Amino acid sequence: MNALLRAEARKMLTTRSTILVAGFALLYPVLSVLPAVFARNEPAVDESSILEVLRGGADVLTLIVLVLGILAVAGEHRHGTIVPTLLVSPRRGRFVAAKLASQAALGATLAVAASAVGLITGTVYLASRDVSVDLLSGDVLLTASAVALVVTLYAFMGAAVGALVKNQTAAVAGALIWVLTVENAIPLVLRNPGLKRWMPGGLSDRLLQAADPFAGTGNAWLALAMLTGVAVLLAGVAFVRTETADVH
Amino acid sequence: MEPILIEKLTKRYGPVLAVDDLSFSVPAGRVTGFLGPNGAGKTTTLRILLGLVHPTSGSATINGVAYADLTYPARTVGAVLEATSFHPGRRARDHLLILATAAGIGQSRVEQTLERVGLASAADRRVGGFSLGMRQRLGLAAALLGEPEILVLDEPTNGLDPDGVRWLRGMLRQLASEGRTVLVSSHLLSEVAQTVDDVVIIANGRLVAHGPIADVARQAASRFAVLLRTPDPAEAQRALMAADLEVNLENDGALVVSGATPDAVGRAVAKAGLTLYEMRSLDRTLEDVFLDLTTTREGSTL
Repeated sequence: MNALLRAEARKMLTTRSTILVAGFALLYPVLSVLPAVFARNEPAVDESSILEVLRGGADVLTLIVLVLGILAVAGEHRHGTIVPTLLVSPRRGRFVAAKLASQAALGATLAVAASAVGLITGTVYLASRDVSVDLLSGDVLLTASAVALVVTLYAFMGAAVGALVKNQTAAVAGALIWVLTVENAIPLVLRNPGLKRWMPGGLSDRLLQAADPFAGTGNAWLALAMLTGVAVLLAGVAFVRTETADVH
Repeated sequence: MEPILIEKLTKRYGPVLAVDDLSFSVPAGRVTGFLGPNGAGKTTTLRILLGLVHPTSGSATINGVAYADLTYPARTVGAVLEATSFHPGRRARDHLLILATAAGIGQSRVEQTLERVGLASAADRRVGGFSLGMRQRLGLAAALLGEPEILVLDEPTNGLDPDGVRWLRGMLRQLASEGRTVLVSSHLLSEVAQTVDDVVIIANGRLVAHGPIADVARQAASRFAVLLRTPDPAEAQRALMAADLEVNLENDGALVVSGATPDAVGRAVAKAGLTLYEMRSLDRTLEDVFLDLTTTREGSTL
């Protein structure tokens, strides 16, 4: 299994698209602060603004790692590299496990790195507005941890979706349409706005709001458990599908 | 134990029967040509053998076990299935390093195999810029990474120019001389005739013939065909068929009598009192025998 994980790491480091997208993910926290820096009317800020920087970065990062996860698995089918990969590692369960683990690790790494960039950028910006930030405060650590968990789970889910839907274009388009449209449309169509809280995007929001005194950590734990459940369910179906499908 | 054993293998895709109760074995240390027309079921059989496709029934084993159960698959079997199994943005060396890493093979083997297939100078180029011949070489390098005793190659000459075909034949001969067991598929007998020791011929998913290539060559030499032209081909065809001869009327009006000597055809023509413009023996090539086997016969050892 270690050999497969090392091979997956090498795959990530030898494709330009992965490196470029990961680079953008790390640059995004800086870009997200720029509008505030150059705004004609400076927005009101306080200590809690640093949490918004973290959450804003997480929103973009979840989409990025979701797509990277899909590309990592569905891309193997698109380019035909699934054949040499399975010839070297014919036990398909291990193949899926290595994909899920490596994408989760990539997600966690990017989340920690992007959070660090966001905290540094946000702290510098807030200092320029005479707002000091305690980077070791409970709220900052809680929100940064939530970001890492949410992004890791989305990277994991991306790999699972890639294993489920072998057509790369369909998998990416379907996932983005779900996240950006369907999750918002379902509560509207069913005229039940509260439903959004129970969908993956809503569960992520609840987790990211863990430091919000009105939301409460109990609410966040429940959201974490449910989001993990969704990810595990997707992974389970991906394992079954990969084991039983023919590879052409 | 045979290195490769296919037993009562069947694969059905909905209403399509791709492989139909196929059984054959590949002996150790020999080069076996796996032949059949396009759509005969060769690729499906090889994919089942390599664990990529699940059979409907039957089994395909390597050294007595299913591919997925091999302890060290890359060190036991090397396979080249298609020339498109590469990420176009990845460098050739990286492609091999990834496979070597996953298989637990040392990185020094990557350099050795690149050298062996003649790609050392292109190792740092992205595969997207490779010609088909270079991709075939890279595929072969991947197959040779683990120095396997068994090689499975699916139509490796597809799309290659004459130089590429010559290089591949040389490489196959070299691999065979090292004592490896090689199973190479093709839809053209002539492409592999110079390289293989044995042939397995299939058509419509079923075994048509199995045995040494020398026996096919012997069959080619022993099979007669005679071409004749007459002013009344229809009448001549009736007369020859009445003499129990197998006759085909060609588009240009010529008659081709298969499986008969010129003597037998001459006697039948004389007996019917036919006028002849032309009569001559036709040479039967290996390819003719292959076509006969894949279009008319089913299932025997040569």
